[in-house]
Amino acid sequence: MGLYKHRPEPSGSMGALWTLSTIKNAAVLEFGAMGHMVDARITLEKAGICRTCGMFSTHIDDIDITLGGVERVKASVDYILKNSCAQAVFLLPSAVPEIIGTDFAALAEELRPAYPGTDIIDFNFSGLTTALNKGVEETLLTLARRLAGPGEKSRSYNIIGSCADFVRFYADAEEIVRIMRGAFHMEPGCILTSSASVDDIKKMGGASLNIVIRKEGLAAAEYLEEKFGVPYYFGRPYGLKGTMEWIRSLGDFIGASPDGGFLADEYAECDRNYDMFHKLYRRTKFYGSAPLRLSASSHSDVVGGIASFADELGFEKGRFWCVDSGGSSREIPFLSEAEWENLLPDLTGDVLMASGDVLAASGRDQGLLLSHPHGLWSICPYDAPFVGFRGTVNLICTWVGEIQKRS
Amino acid sequence: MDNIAHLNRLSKINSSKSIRFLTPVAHPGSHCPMHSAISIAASIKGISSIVVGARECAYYSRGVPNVADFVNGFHWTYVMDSNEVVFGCRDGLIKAVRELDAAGAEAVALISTCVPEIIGEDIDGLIKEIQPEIKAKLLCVKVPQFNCNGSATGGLFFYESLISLMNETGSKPGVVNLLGYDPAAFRRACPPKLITLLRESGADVRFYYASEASVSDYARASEACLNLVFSIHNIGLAKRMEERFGIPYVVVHDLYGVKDWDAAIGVVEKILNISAAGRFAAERERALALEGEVSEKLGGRDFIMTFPYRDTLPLAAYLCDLGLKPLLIHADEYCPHNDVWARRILKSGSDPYVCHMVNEKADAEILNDLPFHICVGKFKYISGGRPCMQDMSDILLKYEYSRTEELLDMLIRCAGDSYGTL
Repeated sequence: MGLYKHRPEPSGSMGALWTLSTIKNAAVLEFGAMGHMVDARITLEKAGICRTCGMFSTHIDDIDITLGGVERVKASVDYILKNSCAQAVFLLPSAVPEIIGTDFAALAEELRPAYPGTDIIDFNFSGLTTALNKGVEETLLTLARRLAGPGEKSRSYNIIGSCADFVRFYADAEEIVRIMRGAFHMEPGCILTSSASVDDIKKMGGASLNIVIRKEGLAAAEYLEEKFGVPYYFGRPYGLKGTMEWIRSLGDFIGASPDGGFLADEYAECDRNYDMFHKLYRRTKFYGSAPLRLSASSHSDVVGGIASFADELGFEKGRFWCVDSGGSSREIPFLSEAEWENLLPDLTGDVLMASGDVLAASGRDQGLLLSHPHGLWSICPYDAPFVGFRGTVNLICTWVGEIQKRS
Repeated sequence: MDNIAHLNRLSKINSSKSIRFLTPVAHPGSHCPMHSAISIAASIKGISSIVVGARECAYYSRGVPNVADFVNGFHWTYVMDSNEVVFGCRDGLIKAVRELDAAGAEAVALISTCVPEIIGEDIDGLIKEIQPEIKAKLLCVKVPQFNCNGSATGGLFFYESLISLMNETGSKPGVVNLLGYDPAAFRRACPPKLITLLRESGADVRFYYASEASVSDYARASEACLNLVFSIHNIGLAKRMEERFGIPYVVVHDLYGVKDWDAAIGVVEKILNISAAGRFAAERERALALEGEVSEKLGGRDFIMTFPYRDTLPLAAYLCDLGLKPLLIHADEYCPHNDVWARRILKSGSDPYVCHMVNEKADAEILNDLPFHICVGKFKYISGGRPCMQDMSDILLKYEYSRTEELLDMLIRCAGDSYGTL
């Protein structure tokens, strides 16, 4: 891994912790030094994630390390289950137990008989060798494998991949729900994991459709399709064209026609904003300002959507790169810290949407935050989305603000 | 009291490791010592740092205030991969230090966290090996949390490491270092009269507080003839300076009682050959009167001490002097400097349970069952209308006998109607 001047890509364990943190009626128990859980909680709070599950740490000392002691884990599980309404306990190792080789699978196996009716699930993958996206993928898959059941068959759908490592993940999931309600009159079952309860996850197999909104959700969706026959649709709608196409294609997939009235109303609202954007954009160009260029950095699925929407609006194409090494492609490569630092001087006049670290390093404020980490406290959970129709309106308004700053 | 039978009593405590959690699981728990160490490192002008460890440590260390603000220096991280966990990160770390040196760092603190410490990475040895070729002064700060409970040791060890920055200049008469006293507080609030006394006596008073000191300030710190210690974080450094340069020190951050302030001021007077000459007479009289009153009315009453009052043992010892009896004490850490206070508490005839409180709500259930009369420290969920000194921050802003007065006034106010009838 080596030297970093800013934050490194988060580890798989961090991805797991953040993904599990929003599940209701559950507890996350980390076996490791407690300072890590304190920092994780602060990081989530800083990103406006206030509705967390119970987040606990066993702490660990050198005697536990020397003797391989796991009594703290047993006592903690016992305490949590006797003193809370948690229906599931997620056991997470930190770097130290990973190094000393604590067998979490065996430990969970040993604990289960004592707590019938409670799911004790071990998340036993390496934080030292895996990056965040792998951690999120493995966590979603493990939840599907270990918790999801057949459920009662219904017309509902699940959303897979709404996780705390994305900026505005609550708002994005709510926009998908609004679109599904308006276009197809369908209601959500489980929103994994931003609004999921343990019970919701257990009923996932009864849904008629899984909507996967990031690539890390595909493995879980494939498992649910194979196990319970729930088909899945993968995509993340950005921009007016992109959202209309997402709805049309989803309608074809499930064999339903979207509600024409809903689409017409939404289209009209977005169209008004398109007109306004183009009017202002043309005026800026008329007065001799350079054409606006948009650059972005975030998760590969987010950057792909933003790039295509920016193209749709007529932005000059800037530089697009992703922060998830597993999502790197020729069009949207993963850039190392040194690579994106070297790139910054070329982006001076660009509208740049990126992480708090990139924005700070380029001397910008945090207004165009597109990925973690947050540079400042962002505690409002009711931000506007980036996806769907309302995401389209929100992004246009944001970019109109940038045009006005420059004119 | 069955709920606390798993705890050790004070007589059995000889290090942080023997302090057990009051309830079994941390929620949220205490910051790790790296947090304190990096926060202080990022405050001192001229100090740069490399946090060495897992990705978690590297990532979260960037969110620590001061580090996030990039106030001073370069604050980078070195993330160990799985290969380095097996074979060590020596080569990579040397390369990183060279890069930071080339960037112009004046001094570099290598902050070693849990992973390098568990595999026994020899950062001390690495520093000895490469220091001759590195322009920046290298410091080693070992802060694995598996060796402690809270974050205080991070500050303690960080300041201790600053001994490496100090040149052997020889002490000059009249130079006094104030270790850990915030000059901003000095300008804002009523300053300690002791500092005013020193200044009026012609002493060269120098502030050593993170955000207002620099590497060059620390380089000449050995010019002092006396160190006055105003923070728990600086006790280790003062001891090291006494060992290496023969500079005596007086700890004042943990003094509360008239007798203790008498002794401390007496030592200062003797070393600097000055006289307080009645400067404290009025407040000393009032403090003495209050001590008598509290002793009489609250003597024999049981108290507990809670989070987040950090250095609890000195205050507990003082309350024991007044005749109060500690039932249970929260302690983040137990460091060697606590021995003197522990002995004093034991000598008073009390042997309280000592614990680390890491789960406010769960701890409250146990604490509320204890037969205490008064709680010293924050206790949000206290029941039964029992007196509690929730916010004690004002006390620590005061010094000398004013602190005694402030503390005892607060104790009396807090006891309220039940004062004398508890």
